[in-house]
Amino acid sequence: MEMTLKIENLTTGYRSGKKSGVVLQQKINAILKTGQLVCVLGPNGAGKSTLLKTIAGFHAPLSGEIYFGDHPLNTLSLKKLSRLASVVLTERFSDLYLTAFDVVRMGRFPYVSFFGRMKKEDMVLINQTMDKLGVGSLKEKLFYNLSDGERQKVLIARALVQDTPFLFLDEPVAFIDSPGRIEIMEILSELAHRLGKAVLMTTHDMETGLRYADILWLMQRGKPLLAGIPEDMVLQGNVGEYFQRSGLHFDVGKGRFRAESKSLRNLGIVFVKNGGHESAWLTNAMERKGFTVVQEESTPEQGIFVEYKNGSFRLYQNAKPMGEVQRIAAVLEKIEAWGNGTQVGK
Amino acid sequence: MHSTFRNNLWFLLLGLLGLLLFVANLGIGSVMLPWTEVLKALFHTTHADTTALVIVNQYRMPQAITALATGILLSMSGLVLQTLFRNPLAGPSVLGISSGASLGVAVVLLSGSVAGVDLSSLAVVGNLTVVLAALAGALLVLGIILFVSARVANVITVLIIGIMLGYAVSAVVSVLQFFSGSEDLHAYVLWGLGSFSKATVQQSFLLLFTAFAGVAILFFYVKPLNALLLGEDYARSIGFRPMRIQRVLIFVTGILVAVGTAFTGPIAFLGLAVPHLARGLFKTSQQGVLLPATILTGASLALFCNLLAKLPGYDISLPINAVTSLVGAPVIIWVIMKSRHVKWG
Repeated sequence: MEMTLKIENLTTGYRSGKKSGVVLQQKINAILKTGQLVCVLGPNGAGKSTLLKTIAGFHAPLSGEIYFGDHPLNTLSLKKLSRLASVVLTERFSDLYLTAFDVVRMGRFPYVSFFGRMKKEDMVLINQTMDKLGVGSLKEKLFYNLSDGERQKVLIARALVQDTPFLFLDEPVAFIDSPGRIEIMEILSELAHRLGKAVLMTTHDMETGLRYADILWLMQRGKPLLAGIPEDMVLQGNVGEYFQRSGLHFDVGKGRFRAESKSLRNLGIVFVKNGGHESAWLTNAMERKGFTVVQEESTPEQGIFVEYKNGSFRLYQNAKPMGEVQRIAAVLEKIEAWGNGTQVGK
Repeated sequence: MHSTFRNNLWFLLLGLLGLLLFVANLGIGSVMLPWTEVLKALFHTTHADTTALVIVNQYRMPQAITALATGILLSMSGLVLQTLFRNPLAGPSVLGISSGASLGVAVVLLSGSVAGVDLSSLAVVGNLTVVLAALAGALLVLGIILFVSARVANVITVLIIGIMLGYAVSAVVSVLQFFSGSEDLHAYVLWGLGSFSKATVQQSFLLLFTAFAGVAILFFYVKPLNALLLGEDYARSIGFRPMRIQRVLIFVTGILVAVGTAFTGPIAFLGLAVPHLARGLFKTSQQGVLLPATILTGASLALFCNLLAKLPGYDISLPINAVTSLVGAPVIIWVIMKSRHVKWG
């Protein structure tokens, strides 16, 4: 089912006693389409979760309107909304004996009878979904005893059996190890691209956002929400600007931040022959130590040059071979010994 | 599910246990009656002994029914409140309703002597007056709780206000106690120890009717209660209105606890311990299983406690509140120790 979610002039925030309320974000305008994976990306405290929860109907907006298709959110009954949007939240459950199956089962509640009795089709759907997400074997396990990654997949399965065109996830990859993070992001991409769902997720992890989002919604307190393709937003400098913090410098080439203070420790230039995993990781190590790395094809006349050849790192100083070592640790040791506080290379 | 068979077996066992304990409550008491006499009296056969008829039908029967009904009322209220507040230590006492009942009783039993008249010596305060006073006090507190819950957005706030209200009400009771005569005080303390034997035959049936009505209502809330296990936001996202469910269930359990406490006095620990016992036996959090499990376990445990309180073989009996505490507290410790491999939220 093709559908569009439209946000018009939305102001999010809390109404906490005071009549005016605390404004978090103003004049948000954005569109979410089925078949897209949208990442709401921004630093902590930007109001990402509040936006997500406002769109999901948990918080009333301070002003503005949200449309599911042609229907304004505030005219939709909870019953109707439960068939349009499902959620994965960061909230934790306290119940002891809740099994993974119990959790997923609740995704069918909008469809089953008053007493919650599951029909055969419901059971088939639950089993298929859990198997597809790789949590089929965890059905009888207590939700509490699952790992963070397993829990997240169970929660996604719960949202999927709810069978809604929109899926809203609050920080689904926070606190999850890197392989688990990639697994979950691959699942979410597939939901958007293969099943045609509109997936909206918040994350403060730039790498995840830049790598997987079809559309980024950049957020920062006091700045308007910006939407666009991640690559364009990096090149236009938007990502750098929205995450900007003093002392940090956004590396457009790598799409990540680096501390400016590193340059104060500039130990000099090291030339590295480009290409290969070894060169890439050698560069990583040298930059961490405070060297500036320049890619070079052949041994330069002056300065330190390292190339990886036939299983070992070969070192040169002013074009003179200085021996070869097996490990990057040994390369670092040697170069730092030469430097010994003074400038190496040029 | 393969656990259905196991569950049904437990239901059957608990049902039989409850039946057995009910019969034992009729047969055992301070007066030794042969079982044949008990059965004859129970079925009103023509050869029944008149003493046995009176003891079994006028004393033991209402007491057993009161224990059964109160066990059901308090236990299922405890389960619902634990689910509602998502707190394993919630129970019928957290809303301050039993404290409210105590206040009502304290006012009628103690305020006389505060004013200089020893009411209990005048014998104007009968059983029914105490019941009505307890009910009035409990409903007053429930009214305040509902008034508050309609104005705050967070159910945990309601919980805290309930507990604080309980403390405040108890303080008022303490003041009344301080100024009252020793006979009135004795009457009040006795009420506070709880008893399944104060209710008349009619009152015991009223309790039983209330319990059944409560069971019938709460079975309609199994699905919303399940949904609330995931928290309010998830419950909303699958089409429920958490606030409305919370208010209705606070009202329903409040009435159940108020009625129970009015006829028996405050009964400690049953409402808190039984849901844990049921969870430990059935190892599930599905409210559709836990509700009947709690009802059966609660009925059995209350009947068991009443039997213990009668001290079979002795002339005297113990206050029921002491027995339920002595039985209930270890149950909670046992359940928590048993599930220590499971992390608590």
